[in-house]
Amino acid sequence: MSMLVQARGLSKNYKGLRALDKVDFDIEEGRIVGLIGPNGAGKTTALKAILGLISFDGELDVLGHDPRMGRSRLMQDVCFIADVAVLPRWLRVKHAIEYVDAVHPRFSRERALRFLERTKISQNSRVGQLSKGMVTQLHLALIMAIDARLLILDEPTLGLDILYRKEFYSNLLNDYFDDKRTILVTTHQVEEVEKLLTDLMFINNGRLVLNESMDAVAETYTEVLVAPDKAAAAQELKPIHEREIFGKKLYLFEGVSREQLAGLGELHTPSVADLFVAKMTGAAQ
Amino acid sequence: MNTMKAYTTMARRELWEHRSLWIVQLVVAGILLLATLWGMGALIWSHAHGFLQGNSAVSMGDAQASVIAGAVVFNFALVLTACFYLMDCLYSDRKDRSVMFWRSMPVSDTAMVLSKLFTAMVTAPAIAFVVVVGFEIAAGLIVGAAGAVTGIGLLSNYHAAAVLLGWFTLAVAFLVQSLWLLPYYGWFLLCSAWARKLPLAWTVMVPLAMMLAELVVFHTHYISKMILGHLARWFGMLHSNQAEFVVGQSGIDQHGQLMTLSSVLSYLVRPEMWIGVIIGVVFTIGAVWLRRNRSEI
Repeated sequence: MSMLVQARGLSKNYKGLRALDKVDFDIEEGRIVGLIGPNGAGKTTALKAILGLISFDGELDVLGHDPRMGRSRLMQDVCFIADVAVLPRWLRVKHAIEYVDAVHPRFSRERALRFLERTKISQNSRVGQLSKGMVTQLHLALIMAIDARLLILDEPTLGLDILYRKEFYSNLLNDYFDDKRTILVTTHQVEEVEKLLTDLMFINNGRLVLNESMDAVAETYTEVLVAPDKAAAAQELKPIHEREIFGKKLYLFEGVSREQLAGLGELHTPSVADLFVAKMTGAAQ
Repeated sequence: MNTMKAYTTMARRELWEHRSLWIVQLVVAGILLLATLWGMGALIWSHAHGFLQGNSAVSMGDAQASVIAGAVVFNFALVLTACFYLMDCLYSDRKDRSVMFWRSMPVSDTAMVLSKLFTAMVTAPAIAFVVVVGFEIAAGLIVGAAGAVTGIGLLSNYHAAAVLLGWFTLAVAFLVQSLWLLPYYGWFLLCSAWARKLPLAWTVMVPLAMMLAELVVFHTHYISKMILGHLARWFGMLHSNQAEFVVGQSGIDQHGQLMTLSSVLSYLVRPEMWIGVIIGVVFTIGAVWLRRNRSEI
């Protein structure tokens, strides 16, 4: 497995505000990595650093390049969808295809047209005439037709309705992703990407508070629904988070073996959303 | 993909976005053709009713001069649309955030900015030139038809060689003009890449503030002389042609002031031309730098 992205001590200051604080991470080829964090946590800053859109401190290697040097070279191998609104309103669909076809050496016109055939988008339409969901379909069709090694998605489904959101990710998984491709995605809607991800990163206040594979997450974190009479025993094992549900206590444990917890109640693997809440509130304490 | 195709598509992309670059020229041509029709209609009417007497053999003047003079309105439209285009081109995509899409393509910021400058300096003049030639042929046919109806030798001075020389001079003049105006064009690009809102305000207010500051502090006006004088030295020449067109052959000394191929080319050997070009290049480099490092509003 080769490393596509390696960050060591990655830092970024915006006018005294520490957006990224000595962050280390690796992204391996063939993974789908979710970068999850509250607003202002540093997600977009990290993506921009990888894309060579901003300056930074520390070491960052993207596909063997320093992204600060030669963005245009890097963009042959890295694709990027910022969010839904970035295709200009005046652009015609056919012109968008023509443009990318002309400037991008790894773009396949046929592939893009095949994706578009499945939508209601007409070649002659301008972006301004399309619905928000259709603009995203168009952008995705353009991006998926590029044979890139790393795809970066920053809140790609923001403002879309549920049908388009579901379709977006299923298209991405079924028609694009394979073991040669790598996806890094940030989103607020953790529930939607949960099933997709192979790796999970939580970021808060410019620091990584979690950085593990989904398999490791399932092993490390356990959620237990505990009846009131066993609450004291559960507390002894130092849960990282607790909340009440139907009069029972729901505890989240980190690094406690399932054998130890089995006697306390029903065991679950926590959802990413619950884990996120636990980690974020934990980090705040 | 090949590089040539990438560059031509980038040049065409500018016309997809900024349709005013050719629409304005067509509108000017339409209006002037209507005016020509009107004028020739009036001429035929006057002639038919005997208002034009025997020897009033009105000629359209020197062929080469009038071919160029016919382009003056088009040229003002060209320069104005080019200026507004340059003010807008690096601003509008930052405003609607589509810059994120354009910069996600493997196109360098230098190539992107140069494609805009190329559009203003070469594509737009080429469009204007084609429209001017088309207009003049159409107008020539209308005038020729009026001449045939009335028997007045309206185009008696028009020889193909003179007309072609006029057009050739015009084409060269468009390109020389682009170089002469490069400092202004570069400045507009810089403001377009810089402004967080109202690039027009920056383009106008900064030089105006400098002129005022100079006037107040030193009681001189070198800056305004430099900025406006450079413009005047080019457009003054165009105007001499307009005057020639109106006065006809009898009026001014045409060899002294008329825009000819040699008078146009003489601008290339003026030091002022190349000082301006250097200033324009510096502004353009600044625009590229801003594009690379500060492309978010």
